[in-house]
Amino acid sequence: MRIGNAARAVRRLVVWDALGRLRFRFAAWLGTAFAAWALTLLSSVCLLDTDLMPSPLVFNAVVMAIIGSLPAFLAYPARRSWGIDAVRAADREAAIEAWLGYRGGPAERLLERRAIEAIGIATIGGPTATRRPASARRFVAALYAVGIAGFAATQIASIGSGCGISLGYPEREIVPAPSGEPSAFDEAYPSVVEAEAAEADERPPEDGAAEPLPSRRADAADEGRLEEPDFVAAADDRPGDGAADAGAPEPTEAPSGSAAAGSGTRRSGAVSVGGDDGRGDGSGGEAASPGYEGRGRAIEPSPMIDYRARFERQYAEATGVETAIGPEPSAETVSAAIAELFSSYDARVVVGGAVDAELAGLGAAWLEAFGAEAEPDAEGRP
Amino acid sequence: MRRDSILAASAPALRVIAAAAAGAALWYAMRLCQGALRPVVERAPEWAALAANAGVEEALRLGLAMLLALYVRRAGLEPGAVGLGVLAACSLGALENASYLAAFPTLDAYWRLGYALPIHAGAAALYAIATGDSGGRDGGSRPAGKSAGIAAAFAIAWAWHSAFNIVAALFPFPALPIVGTVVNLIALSALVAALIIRYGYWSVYAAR
Repeated sequence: MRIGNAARAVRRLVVWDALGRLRFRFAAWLGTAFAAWALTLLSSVCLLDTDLMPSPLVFNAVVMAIIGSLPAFLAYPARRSWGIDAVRAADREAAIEAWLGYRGGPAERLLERRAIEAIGIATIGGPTATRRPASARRFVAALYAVGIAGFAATQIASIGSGCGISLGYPEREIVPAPSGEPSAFDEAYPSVVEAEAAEADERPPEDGAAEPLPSRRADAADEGRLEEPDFVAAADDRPGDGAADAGAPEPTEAPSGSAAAGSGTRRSGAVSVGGDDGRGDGSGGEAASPGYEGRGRAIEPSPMIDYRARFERQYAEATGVETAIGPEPSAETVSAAIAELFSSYDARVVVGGAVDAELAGLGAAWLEAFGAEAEPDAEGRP
Repeated sequence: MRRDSILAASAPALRVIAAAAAGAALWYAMRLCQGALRPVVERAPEWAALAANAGVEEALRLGLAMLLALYVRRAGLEPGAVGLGVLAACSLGALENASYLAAFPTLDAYWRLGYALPIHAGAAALYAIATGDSGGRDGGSRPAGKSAGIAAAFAIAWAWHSAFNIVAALFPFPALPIVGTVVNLIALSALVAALIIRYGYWSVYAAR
């Protein structure tokens, strides 16, 4: 090995050591990021439905900061001694170090020869990076352990709270069942809750009560989620989905938990039949944003529900009466509703225009023949 | 004695916190300066406004890097401590990402981790290489050479930053996020490796 080659071999040795240190730092960053991400997820799931629940903006900003810390890990201050440490680790007899530190003189050739031999021995089987201290390796392993434990705890808590597997901002896929505990709305507006409860008690149970309506508590949870930015389909204008609907006024409030069994209260795609409760005699406009259940990406839209909602809207527009055939109407209910729709349409059809002279003559002849009981109307029609 | 040992043990953590705080202050200073400059640059062509904003950011970042290098020299720290400037750049990038996320709440904001953040971190690494003293026996290069190196580093970082801003704003194409991410990550990796070798292994390089 010549001198130039020896210098190159030494540089390759230290570059290999530097790459080993960077690899270890990358592993440390990966463990830190994994642990931080798992703990962020865990805290978000645990704080679900509380005031301390981080917003999607905060959650994603934290995750981005965690991921974006990679350059800081890699470029964390290096120590001046790393180079010579790498050389010493490869050459216990300090032959390379002695050659590196010698600045010309009679021992140059001797040191050079010994350094070349030492480099040759050190690079047998390829250069190796110095091992990191055991304490550092244990610390990084602990980070991974914390990450794995945090991730497992997160998924258990997430599934338990109805969010399914959570890899990002936790979203509840299952609407929580109404409980007996009063919600914030119940506490803030007790008079409204009492009135709704009384109204529900007075209403007969067969009055379109096919669908148990969600509680106000569930709606409150949904409202909170509607404020979240839709990170996937922000520009998607699906009705009832995303933040676009967050500011839109709701047609009516859904009943409270105590009134969940009641009916006749308008909600998306469900209005009371015949206006018998005094609410359905409105202007016949669009009852609510129809067509989709659930929110976000958890539940795909159903074309059948959309079709029924369109039918109900057209029915209300045609008849001027808002009705509720419910989410699962019986065949008789649907038949009656369709009959009413088309009969009312027929009733609004006005046949007008010029009267055929021949028909008018026939009518006059018929009157003369059969008497004056059948008087023609103002338009000359019999 | 005990207090001194506690301070010495906690010094690295304190420096990390200080660097992160410096990055946050730098982000705020950038916003202030760009706001002050807005009445001037809004009359200029858009490419010039983008370049001017990038110039403001790079000038302030270079100022922080020079302050950090001065502190490292005065405090007698390891020369590699100038690498804390990269940590400050990451802090700045995190705040900038959060502000973008607030303004444009879509998953596309995550592309900034590959497109924008490496520009900040890479520029900080370049300034750290240019402004700090090397770990060699000579204790660093001559002042004139160092000034030229700092000026060159600033010019390169400004041009790089402006080019990516202008392309993203005026000449976007579908593959831009991927292409920009790959190019920026390659550049950042090379700069970080150079930073580590300069301050950790330069003694070996300088010997032969």
